[in-house]
Amino acid sequence: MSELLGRNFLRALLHAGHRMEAHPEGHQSVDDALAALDRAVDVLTSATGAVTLSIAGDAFSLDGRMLPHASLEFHGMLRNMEKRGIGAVTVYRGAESWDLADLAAVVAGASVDFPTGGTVVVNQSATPQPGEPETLGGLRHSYVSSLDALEAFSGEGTFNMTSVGGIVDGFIEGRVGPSLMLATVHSLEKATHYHSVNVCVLALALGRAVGLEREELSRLGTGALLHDVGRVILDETALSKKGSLTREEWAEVRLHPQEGATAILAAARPGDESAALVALEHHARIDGTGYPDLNGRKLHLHSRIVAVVDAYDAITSRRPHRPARTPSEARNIIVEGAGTAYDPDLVRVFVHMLGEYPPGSLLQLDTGEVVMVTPGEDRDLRGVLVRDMAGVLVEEPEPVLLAERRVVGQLLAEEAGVDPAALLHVAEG
Amino acid sequence: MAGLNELAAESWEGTGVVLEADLDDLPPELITRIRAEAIPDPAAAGVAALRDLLRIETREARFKRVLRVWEGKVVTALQNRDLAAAEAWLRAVTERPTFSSEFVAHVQKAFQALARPAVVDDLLQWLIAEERIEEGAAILAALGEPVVNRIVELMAVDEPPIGRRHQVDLLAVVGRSDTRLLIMHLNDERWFIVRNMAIAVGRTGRLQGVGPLRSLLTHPDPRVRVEALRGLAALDADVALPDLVKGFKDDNPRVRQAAVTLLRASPNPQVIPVLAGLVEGGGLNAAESERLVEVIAERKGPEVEATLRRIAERRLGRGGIRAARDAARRALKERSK
Repeated sequence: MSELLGRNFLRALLHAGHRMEAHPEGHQSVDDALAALDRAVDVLTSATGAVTLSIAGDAFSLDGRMLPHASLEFHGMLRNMEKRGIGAVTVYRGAESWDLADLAAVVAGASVDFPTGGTVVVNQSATPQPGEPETLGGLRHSYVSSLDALEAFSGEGTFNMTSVGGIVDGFIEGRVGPSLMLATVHSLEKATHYHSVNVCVLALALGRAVGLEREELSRLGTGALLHDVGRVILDETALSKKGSLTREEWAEVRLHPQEGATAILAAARPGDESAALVALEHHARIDGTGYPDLNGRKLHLHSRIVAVVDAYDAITSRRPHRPARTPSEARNIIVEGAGTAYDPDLVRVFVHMLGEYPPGSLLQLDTGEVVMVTPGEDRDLRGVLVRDMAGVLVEEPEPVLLAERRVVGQLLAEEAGVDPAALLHVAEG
Repeated sequence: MAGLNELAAESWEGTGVVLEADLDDLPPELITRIRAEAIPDPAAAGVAALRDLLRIETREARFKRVLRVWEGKVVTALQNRDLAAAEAWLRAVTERPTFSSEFVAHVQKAFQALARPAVVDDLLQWLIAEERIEEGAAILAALGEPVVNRIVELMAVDEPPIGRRHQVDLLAVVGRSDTRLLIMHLNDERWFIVRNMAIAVGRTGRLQGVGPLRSLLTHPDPRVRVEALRGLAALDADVALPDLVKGFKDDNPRVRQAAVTLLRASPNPQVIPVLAGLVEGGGLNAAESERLVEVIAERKGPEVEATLRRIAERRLGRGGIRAARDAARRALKERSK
């Protein structure tokens, strides 16, 4: 599972970079992060002696093999490396800690000093790279494009609505089942961006389920993708704070719908304006409470759709102040809010759409095996085996029919050690 | 909420999977109900968002930012020649205001910035070139005062980009929704401004214009008085009748001529007795009397002949009355042919 090893390396690299950015040299958390990075490199290079991580198009490759999921999860790092002119990094077995530390600092944007010790070499590929740069296809490409669009907004404070429309159309082209798996991608970096893309994907799935026409779906997707742009405008400190917020911080957070709506209105082309209303209303509840105060008026259908899927993705995502919850738990919470926070009709369709175990759910069987649910064409619950009875990760996931199997629990991705979206190719067939 | 428990129980049973477009198990009326709420007009949603933003934004700087966005929306719609959208965006602020009264000055400033000469001129010239002034009535009315003020400015220009005829056409369209915007310019010191405004007020069809136009009948410039008479006649021929009669007694021949023309065109049956009264009352010179008799003779109806006979049978009289008698006799003779 080279993708898994590659992701572990990237995760450790990013984490170390962030720790170094946040703390002085010698700080315990920095030392711990660098030690974890050393271990990830040891595992990664144990078989081949050296590996080359390269950027080709919009994706990472590890020794010439594309890492589609890592390219989504660490998209920010990928773009950061591009900006710094890093096209390839070769890491040798036994790489020195200071070389790795230099690399981590560079990719995190904390330093401009490339490693010089010789055990980590930048832009000097040790292994032949494939002639044609690989690019992410289909839904993954749309996902990356969405992240790029939101990143551009972060940097420039405005966005190109034409490109946003194109991205949404890309999601509409994709099938619902794989889309739902894709929506399980999360990242600790730029969490708002990932959340926004997931909300877009989920909203489009729900919009399809209620039979919205293509044009309306496009508008819904645009609103969903941009629903949280106000968070980008506001001080991220309050939004990403661990623990409870002060009164002032909470007041700040509550401004993000109106900030987002204003930004969208400013950029919206004729026909896109409903996205502004979605941004404004997505925290308003159908019982007239929530924020901002909309005088109890009826909320736009798109806003009500986004409110449901926004909650679902938020609940199933890890946040600084709380752990992630399973899809089933998220569903329970949303059902409890039907009629007060959420439109009960839409909740009903959403629950039906997700089913008992939505695609990407990780199920613990009574045998000890772990299965990831995959989308199917009929009502038979099916999946792929991702951990065997001994708890060992399965190299090539095998199809499993779950009708005769006994599910004893549902796992979070971090508990199972598997990212459902990394197995998107299984769902895409 | 009773249905929710049922919903939860129902959904927790069974092990469904996500099925694309598989809604068989959901009641069709549920989907129909949801779909029915899809709003086909995204611009309306944008306008709703803007109105909410104006209402809830209490931070001055951010409120001004929302106003700038609003200005951009209106201008863009105008540039795209989407008059309906421009009107919708414009009215988002001007109609049933949602913003706090403490921000009124900011709104006024934003409105002035929006309705700057370049924007207004571009719109007006396009409406004229495309012959779509009537289609632009709503947006012109929504813009209101800046349009009127700009046209007034252009009236004073030697070679205005918009000709006088179109200036008046545009003013009339704006004035239909709010005649006061024109009336406020009727006391302008420049006679030609007042004249044009009088014409426009007359074309609005709004009776609020009667009083102000009537007050112009004493304007020192006869060109203004002529248009005031015409305007009054256009607004309400019946109401204007006494004014036309007065106009016939004006010192200036152009005003009198205009009055005669308007009396001739007036459909009011009272024109005949009123004119007869003028003729028979004396005080007119021969030419004037003759012309009024001619006007009476041109009209149709049994009372025409009776009136002509009465005038023709006058035995006493000099000057105007005598001329009127002769004219009436000639007219009767002519009618008998």
